[in-house]
Amino acid sequence: MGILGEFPDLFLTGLWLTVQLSILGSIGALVVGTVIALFRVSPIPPLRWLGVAYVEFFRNTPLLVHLFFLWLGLGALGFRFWTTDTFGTIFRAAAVGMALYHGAYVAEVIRGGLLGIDKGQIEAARSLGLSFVQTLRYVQLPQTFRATVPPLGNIGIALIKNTSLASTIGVAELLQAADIVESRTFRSDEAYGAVLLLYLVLTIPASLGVNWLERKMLIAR
Amino acid sequence: MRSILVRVSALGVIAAVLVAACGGGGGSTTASPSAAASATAAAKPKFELASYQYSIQTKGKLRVGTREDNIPFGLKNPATGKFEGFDVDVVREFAIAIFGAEAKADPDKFIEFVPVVSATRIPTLKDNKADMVAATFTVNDERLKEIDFSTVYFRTGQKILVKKDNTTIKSVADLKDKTVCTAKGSTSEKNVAAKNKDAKLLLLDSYPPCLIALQQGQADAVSTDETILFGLVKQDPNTKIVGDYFSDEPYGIGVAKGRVQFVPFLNKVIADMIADGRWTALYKKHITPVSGDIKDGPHDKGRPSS
Amino acid sequence: MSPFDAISAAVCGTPGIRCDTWHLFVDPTIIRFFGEGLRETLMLSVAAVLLSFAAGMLFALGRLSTRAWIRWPSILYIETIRALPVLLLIVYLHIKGTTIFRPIMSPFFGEDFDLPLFWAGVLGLSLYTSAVLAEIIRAGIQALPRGQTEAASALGLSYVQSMRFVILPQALRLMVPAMMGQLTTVIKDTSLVSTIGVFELIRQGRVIYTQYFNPLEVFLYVAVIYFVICFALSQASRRLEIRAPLEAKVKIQEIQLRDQVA
Repeated sequence: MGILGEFPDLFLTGLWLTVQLSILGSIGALVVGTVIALFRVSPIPPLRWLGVAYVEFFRNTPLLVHLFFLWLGLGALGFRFWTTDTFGTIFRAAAVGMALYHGAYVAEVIRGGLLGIDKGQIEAARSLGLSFVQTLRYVQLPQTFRATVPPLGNIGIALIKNTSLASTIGVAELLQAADIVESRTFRSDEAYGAVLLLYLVLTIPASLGVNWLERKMLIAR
Repeated sequence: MRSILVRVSALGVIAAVLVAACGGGGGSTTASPSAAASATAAAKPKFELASYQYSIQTKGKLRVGTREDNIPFGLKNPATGKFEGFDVDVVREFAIAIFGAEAKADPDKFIEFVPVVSATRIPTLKDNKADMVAATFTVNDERLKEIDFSTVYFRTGQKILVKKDNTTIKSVADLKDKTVCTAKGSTSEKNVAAKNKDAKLLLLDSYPPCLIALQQGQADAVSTDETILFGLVKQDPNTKIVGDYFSDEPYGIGVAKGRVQFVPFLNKVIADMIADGRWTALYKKHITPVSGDIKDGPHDKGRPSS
Repeated sequence: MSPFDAISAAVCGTPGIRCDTWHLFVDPTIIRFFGEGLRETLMLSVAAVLLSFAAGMLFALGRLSTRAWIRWPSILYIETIRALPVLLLIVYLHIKGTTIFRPIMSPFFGEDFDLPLFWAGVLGLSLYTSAVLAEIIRAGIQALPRGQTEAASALGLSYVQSMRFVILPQALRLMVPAMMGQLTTVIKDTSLVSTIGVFELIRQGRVIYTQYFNPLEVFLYVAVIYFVICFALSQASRRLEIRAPLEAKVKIQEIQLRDQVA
């Protein structure tokens, strides 16, 4: 893979930005997803409807549209994600887009986990005097997270792959590195081959990890 | 004695006829539009029988490959159905040069337009679907192996597009630390990086989002072939093209190999057009509104129009 | 000034919000223009799904084969493709497409055969989706009770016959909702082929916003169109949900979450 050595900056920046987007996007998706999941199970109807609307909207629209909307759509209004450097704007738009989009999927998984908890436990907690919020915090959510970790891991893997879409709004992540190297050298096999391997390096260990977690969770049940 | 005399005079008559014919059909020299224009009768230019332009004249139609969605070179007007543009008008001059005064009134009567895109230009010539291709066709060595080209009739290259009120960027050197937007997979990106390594390149998959980024101030400039920039200026008149060319794209008329005398004929028409000002008039009509400059010929550097 | 006027003045006065272009979105010519993009999107999706289904079926059966020389290449194909971003596959096939297909297609289409953009996009989409569908189909087959295969062979049916008449029909019936879910995903993925130049829905939107300078409105409009189509599909697939065994449902969800692309 000599081509990696010929363009070390491009590929290293690409790899680093991909990793950054994956981590930030995942954390953001977890936060967003938890909030939306709580909306969906909340006793307040408007919040419930908001939750449903959010999930259905993001699950039925392409990520590409969201990225462009966040960058050039909000950009038309003058919004730059609190930075003056365009490259900062596109990165933040991509990170936010990843978080909002995958957050919808995370929300569904967490909601499933919340609903799956034995009603008896919730009743027991309530009879012990715990409020809705306290029950949530000490009984439901911890169990939910354990049960939902494998599906969340799967979403994480999808997220890593989806960071490639950030290249369409100019972010110099891994796929963009391949595009640039190809357009300069015309060595498409080497350029895309190298990036292909790097993606495998990122996703396959994660997949194996999730598979292992899945088996572990099954045993724990 | 008598038979020799007869034979010699017969030869002389034949020779005289031949001389008259050859003198009259002296190839391209008599085919100049000015000569046709000044002829009072509907005079068709006379060509040598072997020449390709003669066969076109006999057929009565000049088949031309041209673009149909390129401002300002080749565009099919959706309202009128007529073709417009710089390349198209140059083709009309060729038609007049071949068909004479009759064509001057309505050149399109003698032209059959064959729409082409970049990838189909050479195949259209090789398959004999068109006599010539006038479609922003850059001359390069690789292509010269497959087809012939006329002399350069338009010269363009990479330039820079900025907002109309921009006063800081005037050339490639001014792009230092500026955000320059261009499309992936083109030589534009490489050219900017080569000329100014301190320029910050924003790479998208096409030019429309680049234009929006420029409008919103998220990009300071867009850089690519001038001809693409023309289209962007047309879409957003609040932009302007600046700087000198930093790449070279010479356009020629594409012709299939083996067309007898056709390329010299085209070259003569082109040279005449440049000499008598018709080329400048076409440039003013099609290019100046978007480029903001005037040129006297394809090799002229150009000066501001206003 | 009524509150309504005040609000619309505030909204329309904001730079970036182009109220003057809103009339376009109900203009018949513009609607038809977007309709052409939508038609291209749907054609891409259908072609991709059909191709992926055929290929996915092959690889699913390959994955289940008892012969190692069939099984391992299938596993390699499926797991590698699933681990890669779709966009990578689409872009790479677009660049290499002509080189790969010219030798095959030139007897039919001539030496100058260029792989049309539409088909380059379909191929990229299909390559990815076939791996996902292969896993979904496999999950369906494996979810059937063992009794089915045993009963079939007891009745004297060969492998092919038992697959064709017993196993696959049942497995595919179970998989219908999952496959409709995948169709929704494919429709969303077609947005990615806009990057290689295909004039599907998003690219049509691009033509509009470059002319009228209203990206905000156009993105929302396009999002709504996608939403309407995909939402309708997902509702339909929910209606069609047949009671499948829990393991199958869990496995399907796992596959779909991992391979959920834009």
